[in-house]
Amino acid sequence: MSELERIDREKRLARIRHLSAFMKWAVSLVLVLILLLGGLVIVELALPTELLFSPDETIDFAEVERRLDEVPYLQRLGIAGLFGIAIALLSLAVWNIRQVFKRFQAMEFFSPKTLANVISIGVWLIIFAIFDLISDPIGSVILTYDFPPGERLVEVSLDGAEIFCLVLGALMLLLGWILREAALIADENRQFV
Amino acid sequence: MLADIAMQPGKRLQRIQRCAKAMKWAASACLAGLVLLSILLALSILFPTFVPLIGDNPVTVGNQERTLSELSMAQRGSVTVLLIVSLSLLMGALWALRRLFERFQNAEFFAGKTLDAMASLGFWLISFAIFDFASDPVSSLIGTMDYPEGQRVVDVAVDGREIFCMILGTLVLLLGWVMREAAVLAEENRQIV
Repeated sequence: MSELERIDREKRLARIRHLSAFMKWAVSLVLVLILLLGGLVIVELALPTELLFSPDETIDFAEVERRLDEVPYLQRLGIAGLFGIAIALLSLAVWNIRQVFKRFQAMEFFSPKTLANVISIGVWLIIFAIFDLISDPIGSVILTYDFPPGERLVEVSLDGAEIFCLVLGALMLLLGWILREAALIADENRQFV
Repeated sequence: MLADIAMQPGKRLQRIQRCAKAMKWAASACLAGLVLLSILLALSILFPTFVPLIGDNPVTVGNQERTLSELSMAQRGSVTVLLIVSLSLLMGALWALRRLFERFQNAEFFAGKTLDAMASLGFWLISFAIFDFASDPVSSLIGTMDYPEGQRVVDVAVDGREIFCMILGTLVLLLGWVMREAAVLAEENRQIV
């Protein structure tokens, strides 16, 4: 490798490190916000009294919309549970994104842990998208469970966000697999040298 | 993870190619769907009576709800332009994604064009996030332009979608840079052999 190429590579590596360091903090902040806001909503839903929301706030799943104070307490607990699972899945994906940035900052591009994190991002994004998809019908049934049997609603909907998560999740999974091939090459390289 | 590594390299490669092929078609389908939807949406905003996709249901402009027929043609035209730009950025991202999956299907993991496709996917996602953020205040201003001065609304909002696109865009960009380092390694490897 010539001196020029070496300097060029140093520059590229420094750029990767700086951007990763910045993104690690940005994503950590987003994760804290998700957990904080998610936690607040869950507590509010799980408590029988209204602390933060006014009673005429509505909850909606797909096309079903109801006022918060009309929904019986047990059903509210069910909704809080569904919401909690969604927040947990999203947080896991975001946590793995943070870990990838952290490892890139430490220049561990091809370590097994980095690859495990990239693959995990893909897996959690896909699980989140699927859960989001099935939570619409489940959520709408829970929300209208106190209606007489014929009037309960099951809503199914597919929105852009779910497709987006599915496609990008698959991309991350593939990238993880490809980076693993790169890691094997890097490893072979080390053995030669 | 370990079971994955134990797979034959040929099998792992096949799995990547099969998955990439499926995702190439999924991305193409999403792209076609998005183009169709954009045309329908643009027509239904411009001519609400002829293309009743939205009909005269209220649309949310900033924090206000207004029906389309209340807005003047100029306002509807400007909103349509914003929508088209925003959807075009998303189409750009999908197109880059499709090209990327196509490269992966051909097992061209570290080719220059593959890395270009990754970088452009990152840039499209980041531009979409920035435009989406910037278009909120502009569209709320357009939607309330016929109000007397002082009652017009400039609404600024950051939502989860924008943050998510921003983070994933940066992640893809960084992964592209990391894969370029992997490509350099692979090239060195070839020279040693």
